[in-house]
Amino acid sequence: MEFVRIQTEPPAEGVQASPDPVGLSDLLSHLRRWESSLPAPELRGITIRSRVAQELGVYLGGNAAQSVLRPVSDDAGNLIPTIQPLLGRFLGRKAASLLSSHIVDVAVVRH
Amino acid sequence: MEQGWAAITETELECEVAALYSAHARELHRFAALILRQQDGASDAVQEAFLRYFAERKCGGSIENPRAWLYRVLHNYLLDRQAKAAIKREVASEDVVEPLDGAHDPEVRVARSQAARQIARDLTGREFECLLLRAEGLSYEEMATALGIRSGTVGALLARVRRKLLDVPGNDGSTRLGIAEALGSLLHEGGSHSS
Repeated sequence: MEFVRIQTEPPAEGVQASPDPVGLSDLLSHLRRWESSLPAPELRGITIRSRVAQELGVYLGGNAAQSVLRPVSDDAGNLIPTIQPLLGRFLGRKAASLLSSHIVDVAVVRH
Repeated sequence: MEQGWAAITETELECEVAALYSAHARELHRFAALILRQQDGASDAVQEAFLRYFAERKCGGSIENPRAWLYRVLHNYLLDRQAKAAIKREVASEDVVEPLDGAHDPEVRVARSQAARQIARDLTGREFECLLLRAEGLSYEEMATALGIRSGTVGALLARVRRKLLDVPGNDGSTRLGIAEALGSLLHEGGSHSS
């Protein structure tokens, strides 16, 4: 539409307006860089569990958080399926989903 | 998508992210640029949203509606970034990207540009975001997910936008009214604009 179009158009010097195949390769590089910045595999599990415990401890208390996180694998591949059902009992499904994403963001993405 | 990291390989996850990127990066980039009022930083913000998607899936998360999820994460990221930079949500004319307009008549171009800015000024931040998401063709439910509000609130916000568009005053009447009518039609039909 006109309004959106004229607001979106790049300035005359032609700033890149939208992602392209180069953008995708940049993204994949970004993902790989992020992965390589994670703690070493032998430390990853304990590091992530510790960070998540700090976040979860606010809601559950430190001991309960540690206990809940015990089944989380070293690659954290089952982190969300482990914590989300439990959080859902207290907060409801939607809020638990939002909180899980927040915890992943704080404890895993922005480590 | 009920599978966790154990059930999805690195390659499969990258393919999933790449497919989503191809499908939605363009519209997400447009949304980010409009919220930021500039192109700078929009690409980085979109990358961050996809990084969070990647991490969420790696941690075993299941995402029912990836498009709405990406919009929500991107929206939150942009708000966080704006808060940190202490950027006012107000639309200041000097912050708006000077648009290119297909119209050949410079007076028409200027009038349209001013009209669009005036309409943007009349809308609250939340109303403006609703308008942008609707323009991208998101459903009420998707918009509610993206903005973290109820779909009833989405309806109320869009109704307010519609009323404001109908009330657009104008010394330069036909241009402003034309834009308002176009937007009102867009909101009514829920179609996405062509890029």
